[in-house]
Amino acid sequence: MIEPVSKDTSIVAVITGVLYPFIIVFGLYVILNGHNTPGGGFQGGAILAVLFIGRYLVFHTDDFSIHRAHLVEKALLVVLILVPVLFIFGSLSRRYPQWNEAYLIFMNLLIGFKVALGLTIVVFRYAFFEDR
Amino acid sequence: MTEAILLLLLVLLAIIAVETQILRMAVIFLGIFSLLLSFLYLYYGAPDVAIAEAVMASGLVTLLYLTALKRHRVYTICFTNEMFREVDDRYIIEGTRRGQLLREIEQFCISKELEPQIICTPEDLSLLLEKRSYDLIIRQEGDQLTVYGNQDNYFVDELEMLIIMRYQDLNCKFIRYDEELTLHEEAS
Repeated sequence: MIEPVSKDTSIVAVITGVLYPFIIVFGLYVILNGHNTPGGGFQGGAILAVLFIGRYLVFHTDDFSIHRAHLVEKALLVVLILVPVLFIFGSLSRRYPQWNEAYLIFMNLLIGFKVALGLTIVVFRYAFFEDR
Repeated sequence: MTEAILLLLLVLLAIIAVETQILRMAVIFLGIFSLLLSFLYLYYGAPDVAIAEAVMASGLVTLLYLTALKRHRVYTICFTNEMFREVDDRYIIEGTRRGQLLREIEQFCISKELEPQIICTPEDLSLLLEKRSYDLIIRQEGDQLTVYGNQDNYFVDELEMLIIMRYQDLNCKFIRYDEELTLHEEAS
């Protein structure tokens, strides 16, 4: 049903394949170092979202389950609300100040995955299901 | 100095993006604009914002615009009737079985992700064929209804199937023309 952009996409396919590991490593780097260097959950998540979008650019298949991505994203949202509530209002942050950095990294990771999934859902929905 | 050059380039790129006639090029210029803007953020000492700008504005937004451009195609349907001046619009568009045909073609276009655009005109058929700006021409003379479709357009086959299946009672004929405007008649 969905035809590729042009018949010859092998250049895009090869370049995307070469860039894939670098995108993953760079995205994770931006997320994991977000608390003391530029970047953070949102930016790293946007970089990670390029993974699925690049795949869409190469293959134009719709075997990506948007429904499942929705579920995971909602679960992440619940965790994202629960963790700060437990950590800050449960006064864990005062009792164990050495956990602060781990807490920041964990929150950045959660935000990163949520943003990556959210942007992927937006783009895929737009590319496949958007009706007038 | 660097700052002045960057700012001037930004203004220049913005003007080019607005003034370009081809939409695809405007999108590309907008992408370059965002990239320069993110460099300017970096120059002003906001690397966080710069990363967000580079990823979102020059990556994802450009991609979204290009996808939108690819999906948005206009399918122009011309409805011509040489006795148009004696008949008013409501007779054609509303109520009648022919109005239903037009609506159905419209629905078909939407299901194929094309933007239907229907033009009603009293102009002569040969003039319309020569203009070549229409993807489909429907001509009405009295009870006879003739559909002219370009042979190279592959939507025409499906449209023909649709019309044959749904409108057997209508006095309807399907004609294809090729690039030299020779008509290929088919009995249907």
